[in-house]
Amino acid sequence: MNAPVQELDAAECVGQANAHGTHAPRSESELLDAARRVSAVAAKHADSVDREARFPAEAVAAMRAERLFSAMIPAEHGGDGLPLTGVARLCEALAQGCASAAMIYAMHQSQVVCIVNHGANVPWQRAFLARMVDEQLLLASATSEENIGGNMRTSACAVDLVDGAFNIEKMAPTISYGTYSDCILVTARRHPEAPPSDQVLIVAPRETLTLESRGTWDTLGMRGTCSEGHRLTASGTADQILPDAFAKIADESMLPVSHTLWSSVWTGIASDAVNRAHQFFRNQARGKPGALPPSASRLAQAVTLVKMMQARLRESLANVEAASAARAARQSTGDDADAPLTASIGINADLNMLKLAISQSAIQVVQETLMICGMAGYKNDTPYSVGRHLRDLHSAPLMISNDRIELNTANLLLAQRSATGTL
Amino acid sequence: LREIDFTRRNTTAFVPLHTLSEALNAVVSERCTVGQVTGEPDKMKTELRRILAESARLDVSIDSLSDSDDLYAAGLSSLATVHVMLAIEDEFGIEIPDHMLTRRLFSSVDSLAAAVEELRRSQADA
Repeated sequence: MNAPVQELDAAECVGQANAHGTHAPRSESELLDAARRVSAVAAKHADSVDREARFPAEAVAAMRAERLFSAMIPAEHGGDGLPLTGVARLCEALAQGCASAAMIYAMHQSQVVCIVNHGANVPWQRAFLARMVDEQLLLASATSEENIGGNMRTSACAVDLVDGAFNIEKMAPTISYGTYSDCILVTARRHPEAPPSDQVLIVAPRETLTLESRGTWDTLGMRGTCSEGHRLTASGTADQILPDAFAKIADESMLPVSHTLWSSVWTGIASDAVNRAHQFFRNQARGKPGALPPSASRLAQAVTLVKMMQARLRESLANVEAASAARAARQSTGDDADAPLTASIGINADLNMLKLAISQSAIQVVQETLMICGMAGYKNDTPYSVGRHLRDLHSAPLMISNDRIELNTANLLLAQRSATGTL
Repeated sequence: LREIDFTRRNTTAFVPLHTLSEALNAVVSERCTVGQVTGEPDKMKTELRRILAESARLDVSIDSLSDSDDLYAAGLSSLATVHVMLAIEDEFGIEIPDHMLTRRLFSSVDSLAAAVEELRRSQADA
């Protein structure tokens, strides 16, 4: 009987350490439990967030209270050091409560990884990482810009460093939850004479920037992400600019994390719809013992597809984690000029195909669940409603248009001697 | 001759005549070797420059870059390297093996020319 008491004491010690501002890294299962508690809060408010197209303030406050914003920050900087696959599971759990809140969390993490991977050698950035942990800051992104045609790999605005200080103005057609964020990562040309593709990424905390809202966010779905346009101005010092080129940051960090975590959110939304349909189906079957409801084959199809989505996503998560490990090993031995391009091209193609596969399949799955739940699914106020899921998921093929991604993928596949690889 | 003058101007110690003569021979023999093996190295670089102009989608004109200038700094993207690779394979009748497809390969006209030369030689032998 003594052992549990000792364990309890240990738990109390952790609690006391927390009260003094330091936090021991938590395990994946502890973080997943926290994400499920947040998901329950998010689910309670998901309908009003959707109806009013408002920021999911309750869910985001719960994420902050559960200290989920620093889950992926390495333990040496005060975070939990949760690997990407673990973060993907948090996104999936959150998405079962509220798609908008989960997407905000996923987008936040794709910004966090840029500072963790490309800023940790800069004292200002290291200090900011500590601040992100302490204050549980929510990070947003301003990559798109008016008049550059939707390609985040080009910028019009430019950094103009005078005595180590800069001012910048950006007309952003969309900054998701910009108004509610504590810091925005902004792309810009390296200097006023730089070509559009020679970009850097600036870390702009809230107190260094102003936002002027332009336009509205009254959309079909994902209404809580509040992704309206903004005129952004920021000023600061050179050490706020991440030292690596944005092309490198995007390829190695931002894209791999955003594509896998968005896919986790979409898979979570589809899973929640399937779980509703499954519940509906079981209730139907209970009412008529011995006979299967007419939608039986649709349920089998929907679950089959979700399982395929999960497996596909696990594959990409493993690929991204392996590529990060290989990159870390190379960086300790020297420069990466001799790293095979086919590997990086291969992983970019894989992430593109992940995005295509999951965004398309998720809609298909929820369409099936709508047929299974029938009018109960079509109505917005039943335990089997899946209309919001369907509307939210229609954003998936548009967030970086699938048309653009298909062209890009075909281009990358030109470099591969074998397109499919093997098992 | 300019290279030898340069050596002399920057040398405070006495340079024996045979050192200068060796240096001259080295320069001459290097030039000759390159000339003999490649036949027309300048022609190859002209072809590479044409390919880069058509496929590399650089931010600046290839004509404004020297053979040793960094193509990535000039805006070469990973998507564009794919097209450059295919055009080079087609033009020179070679296959670039995966282990040679690196950032270093595409870093300049010089590095591309050296790789094409090496592959032409080894794949002609095979």
